[in-house]
Amino acid sequence: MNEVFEERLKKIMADIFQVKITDITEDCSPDTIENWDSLQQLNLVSALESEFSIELSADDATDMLSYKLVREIVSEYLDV
Amino acid sequence: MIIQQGLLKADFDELSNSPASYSALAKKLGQNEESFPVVRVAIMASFTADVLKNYLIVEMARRGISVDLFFLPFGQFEQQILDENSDLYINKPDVVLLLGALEDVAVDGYGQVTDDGLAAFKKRFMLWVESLREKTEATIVATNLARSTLFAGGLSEAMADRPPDWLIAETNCRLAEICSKVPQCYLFDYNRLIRHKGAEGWRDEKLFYLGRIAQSPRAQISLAGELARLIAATRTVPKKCLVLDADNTLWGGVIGEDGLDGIGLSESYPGNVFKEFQRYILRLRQNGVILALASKNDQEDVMNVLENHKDCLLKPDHFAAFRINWTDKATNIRELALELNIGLDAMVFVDDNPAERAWVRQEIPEVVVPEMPKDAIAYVSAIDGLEAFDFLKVSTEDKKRAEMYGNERKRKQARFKAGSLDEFLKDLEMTAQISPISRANIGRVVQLINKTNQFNLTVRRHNEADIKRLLDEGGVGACVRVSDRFGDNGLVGLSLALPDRLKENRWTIDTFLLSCRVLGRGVEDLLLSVLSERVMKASKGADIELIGEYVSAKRNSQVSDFYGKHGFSPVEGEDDKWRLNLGSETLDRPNYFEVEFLDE
Repeated sequence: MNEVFEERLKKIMADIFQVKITDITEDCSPDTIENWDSLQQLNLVSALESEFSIELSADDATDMLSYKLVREIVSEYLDV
Repeated sequence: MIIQQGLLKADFDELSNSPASYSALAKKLGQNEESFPVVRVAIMASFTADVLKNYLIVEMARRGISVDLFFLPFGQFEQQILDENSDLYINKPDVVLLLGALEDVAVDGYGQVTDDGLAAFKKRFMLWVESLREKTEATIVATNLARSTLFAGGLSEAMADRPPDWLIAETNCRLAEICSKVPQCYLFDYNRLIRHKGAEGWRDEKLFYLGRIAQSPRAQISLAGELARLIAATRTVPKKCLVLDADNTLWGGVIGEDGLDGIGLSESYPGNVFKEFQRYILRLRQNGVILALASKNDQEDVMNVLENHKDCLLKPDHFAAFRINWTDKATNIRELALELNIGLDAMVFVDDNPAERAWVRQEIPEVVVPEMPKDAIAYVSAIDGLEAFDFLKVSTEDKKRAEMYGNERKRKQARFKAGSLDEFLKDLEMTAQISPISRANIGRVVQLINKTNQFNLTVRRHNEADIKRLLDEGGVGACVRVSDRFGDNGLVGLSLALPDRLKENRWTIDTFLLSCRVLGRGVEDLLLSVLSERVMKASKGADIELIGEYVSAKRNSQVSDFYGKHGFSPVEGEDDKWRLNLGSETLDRPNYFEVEFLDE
């Protein structure tokens, strides 16, 4: 997995959830990050679309409920 | 007004139009060291508005305001507004935002815009704002109706009997009427915002279906920015005066070198750019902004352009004051402030020359000095982007203000010629119109009360509701409108006396103020005399005691001895209170006014 991509992803998630970048760990999810609620989930989708110039589907938006899933889904849209 | 400097300036320069960037800055602002005034904003919407949070925090901070936001559950307008014990009121908001989306509040079951649906919404809207006004003193900001989706109208809509866009526009006019009748209530032009930014992509369908969010991220940013602009405008006073440089600001090139035919001012490039900038300046003047000119030039050269250049739209009469000389601009600006009788913090200085800007910024930090773009094409957006001249309502008074200041300049020239002050005042042929505080003038009365700083004895701010209450409780008011041979000055003076609850025939002057544009003309003597007559008329006995108060404030020291000068004697043991017995003393009217009474 591309390190630059992962750093970018973590930075976006940290910005949206308003936490430290080190809080975005391999296993983080709505269970470990307090701000990661349904509203911030949608904000995250918007942020990812804006930062990577991609368009996620509504199903993607409801699926990406952990760092791993976010990474997996976003990378499908990118050549990383 | 967009903040021009400070710790956060760099953060705003770096901000990008993306959710993550706003979120990061919103977090940082939470730990902000600059202490901004806090405004508590309650938000009620027909959709999920919570996503606006970061954008509002950032956009308000950009305007020097820290917000405390609370979002009420969506769609619960009546539940919150009509119940005095609802979360809305418990949170004691300073501002209540009402965001009703057309598709949620005013369409029928098929999503169609109909007369019935709109009529029902008008009623609902009126109930919202009127009930809010009854139950809270918060500023009310409500959106008007807009089509945010390009829903099925089809081709035939263009030729329909009553096209939906027409119906919506008509309803929005009614909403504006409703808001203008409710004090401290402002309509937000959501309709114009969407047209301006584009309806296509305004809504992000995914966000809408997943979370009932009515705007795409780009629309959320635009909406928050414009809402913040309006909220900021309700909390701050617009600047009063625009001080303009001449060369390369009002026209291209340098008049002293290029000559009348050589400067850039025409109907073709680059002269048309400057001509358009002049049009923009004249529009500001129409809204009440006072214009002044500060230029390093020979006076004849600049005047020659203003008077004789066929494409120069700005004429000498449009300016309230000039400083065309070789003195440094900071000194000139200070002199302009004195001449126009306005504060330095009410001025915006526009100059294409970075050195002049830097000098004025350094010497007079109170003056707003915008960075000007190198390319004159961007001048208009540079000034407009300051939000320094954001008027919420432009009254007829405002429209005439700039002209009145122009007349004042002529008056001063006349004073110079006329010799003695008494002669000068007689020579002005002043007419004073006296009226009570009434429905017809209450708007201007509230405006005067809230912005007069210098000739204001108590600097007591009242809103419309306060004044109505004071009058209901027996208060006696007198307003004065002054015109002279140079023109109408408008409503310029106000006084309000209240009967004492404990002691009969004792009255206290709650408010006594004068607009600075008529200072030094004896209007205050007339107003005090008229007020005392009204108090006597409203009292039962003959032995009437009138108490005058002076409450010291930042800029009203010039009136500290006002009552002393008018024959009042100090009240023992009470600083800054003065007493006059109206039974034994009389206050004479100056003899150089023609006085008309409007109510008798």
